[in-house]
Amino acid sequence: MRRFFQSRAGVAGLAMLALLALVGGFAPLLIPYPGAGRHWHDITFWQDSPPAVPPVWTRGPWISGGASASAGGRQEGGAPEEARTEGGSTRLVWRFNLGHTGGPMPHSAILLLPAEGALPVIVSAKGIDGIERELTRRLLDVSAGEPGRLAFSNLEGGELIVAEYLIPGARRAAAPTLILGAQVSGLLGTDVAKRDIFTGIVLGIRWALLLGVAVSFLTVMTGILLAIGAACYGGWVDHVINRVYEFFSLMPILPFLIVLSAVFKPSLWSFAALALLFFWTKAFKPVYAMALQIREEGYIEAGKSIGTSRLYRAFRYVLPALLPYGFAVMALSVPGIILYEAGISILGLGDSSVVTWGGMLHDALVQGAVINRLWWWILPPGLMISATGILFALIARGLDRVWNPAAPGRPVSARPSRSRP
Amino acid sequence: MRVHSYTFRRVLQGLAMYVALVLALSAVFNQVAERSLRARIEEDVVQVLRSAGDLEPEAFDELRIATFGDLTRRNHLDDPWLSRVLWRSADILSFRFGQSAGLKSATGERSVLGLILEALPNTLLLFGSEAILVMVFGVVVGLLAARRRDGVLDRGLSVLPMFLTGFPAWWIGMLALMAFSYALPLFPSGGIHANPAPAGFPGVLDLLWHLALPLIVLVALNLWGFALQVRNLVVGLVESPWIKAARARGIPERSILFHHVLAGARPALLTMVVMGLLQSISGNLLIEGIFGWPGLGNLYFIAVQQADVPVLLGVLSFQTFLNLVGLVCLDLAYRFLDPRIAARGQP
Repeated sequence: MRRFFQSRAGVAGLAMLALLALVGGFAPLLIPYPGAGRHWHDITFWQDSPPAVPPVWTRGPWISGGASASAGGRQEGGAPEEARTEGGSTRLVWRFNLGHTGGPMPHSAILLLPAEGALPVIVSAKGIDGIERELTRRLLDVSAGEPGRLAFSNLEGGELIVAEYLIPGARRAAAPTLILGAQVSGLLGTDVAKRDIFTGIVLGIRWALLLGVAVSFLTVMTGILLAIGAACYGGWVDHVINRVYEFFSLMPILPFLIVLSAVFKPSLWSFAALALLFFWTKAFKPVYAMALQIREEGYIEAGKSIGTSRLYRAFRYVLPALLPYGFAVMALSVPGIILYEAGISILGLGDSSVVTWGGMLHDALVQGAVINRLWWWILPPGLMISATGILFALIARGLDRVWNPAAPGRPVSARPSRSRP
Repeated sequence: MRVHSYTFRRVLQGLAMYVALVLALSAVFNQVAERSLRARIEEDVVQVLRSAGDLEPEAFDELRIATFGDLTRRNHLDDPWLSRVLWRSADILSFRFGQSAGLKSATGERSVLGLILEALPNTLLLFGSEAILVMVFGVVVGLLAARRRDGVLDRGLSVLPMFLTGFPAWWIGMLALMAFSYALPLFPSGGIHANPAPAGFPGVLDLLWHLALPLIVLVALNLWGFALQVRNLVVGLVESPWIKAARARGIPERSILFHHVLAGARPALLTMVVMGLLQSISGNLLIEGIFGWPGLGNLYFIAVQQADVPVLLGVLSFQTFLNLVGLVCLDLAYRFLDPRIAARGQP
């Protein structure tokens, strides 16, 4: 254990893991949208955010243009600027100032129109050039509790002019409210579906860690136990386990996932179960080779001579000798599993009920983030996947020093042996 | 004689494993494959009825039932489960993958084998050139790092592959595409050639231009792990007696590295290259999907999205076949590259 803490790589990896686990554990306190985990795919949960805008820090006071252009927020309509009665119906007009931005990003805005019953409304925009253009002409059917909603995008500076018409006998509605979409949002911006990317990143931590650690622990332990069983029992047990190993190491895992997703809804749990079925092969071969060597050691022979059983020898002598190596392999296989889950997600076979980094990247790919250069949508999830991979590789290097003190600083193997999807 | 019997045994073993894998695949896919087959039969029945022209209602019904029954029987859909799985396996083993549910090849045909054979050269072009480049650069970088132990290159090489383990290749592909094709229009945004494809020499240049970005991404990611393995291999070999003997004879260090050491490293290098190539073909499916490179991976990518079961089944079993052929060839090639293995018997 002391040797592990002597390796800088191991300590750095452990520190990163602790930080990540802390952030993942306190996710509900850190995210700006509590409850986002349950509502990730709920359009109405995110409806007031601006779609596909970059992070806040891309337009700070330190960047020319200033923060003023980016400020979003609510504007209450107040008293109507104009109220005129024509032939029984009343025309009410409100004007909202959009600011003289001329900035690089156009505004998006949502207009809330509280009313009851049918509400004819005309919205037009007056640009900086002073020309008035009609944007929409609608007859909204509004119920009492929910205000009518109109969404606009690609607004350039100037004014937004809202004209409501009150039909004779209709009740006077409250003033409309304009929610001006910010040109920037949150620490990491938002995606096309208006979701806060920082929230998604933080929520993804727990699944990545849970899946990676649990699956790698279980698969490596299964691999070790089977390898010890094959090596210590020999004979037909050895033969059968080796054939099964060959079968599973050649069998592609994807068909099972595809069939699973066709029959059931794909979930993280079914992925974990399949990973357990297939990934034990990764640890099997090297451990098997080592167990074969250990089997011939003198202390095993000595154990045999004092009449210990085969099971006792396997668990008391062989297993402890292999465990340090097993832990290094575990740490090293975590990135592979997280990558695999991400790859499955990018194919569209991932669990859509939870927020995972792979799922975010899938949405980004499908919804044209690459073409539209929404880098704040593509970079963070991939960086998190990579960082998690690196931290476990660092830990593996630290563990490697415990296992193999003679060769400082060389990882067990550079890449996990199983191919990626 | 012993070599021949070993070859025979190894090939037979590989074939047996292939049969087992295909059986498992068709058992797993049984339900979805049959669903798509039934849909296809219904399509065919409609076609037959349409081509039959005007019929009396009774004759129409009769023809419909007869055609349906005939097609169902011919596709063994009425057989018990085990027999259905066996029939499908037999079809796959003889490379009769059937017709795709919706995908069409460039010539407009729907045969799955045609689709696969159309995609295979493209995949081989991309990953073959990747394997060659990785091997050439990897050997050079690895040897250079091994020559100057603990130099800058050596230290970098011991850290870089570790950092790259966690990087999803397809994500790097997405970033590269965003940066070098949409933000800076240096490279095309995907595909294998411009539309329409230029002929002759400009066509070759166009192909290389389309090949460049995915190739750069793949080589840049996979080079370092390979170079590190070469380096470790060489460092181990440098201590061996025949290298010491060569050094004692006064052969220049450079020549020792590139001739004597490399000769000893040949089997291991070959393993690494072949395994890398096989893993790339079956493993880096997503890279092709991201770059729209019309190879096996892209075919697979599209088939998954459109749930095209015959294509999926065909591509999967074909890839499994390629994998097994590669592994068997590798085992056989060891004996030619390293005579010591053959002398010892089992490799």
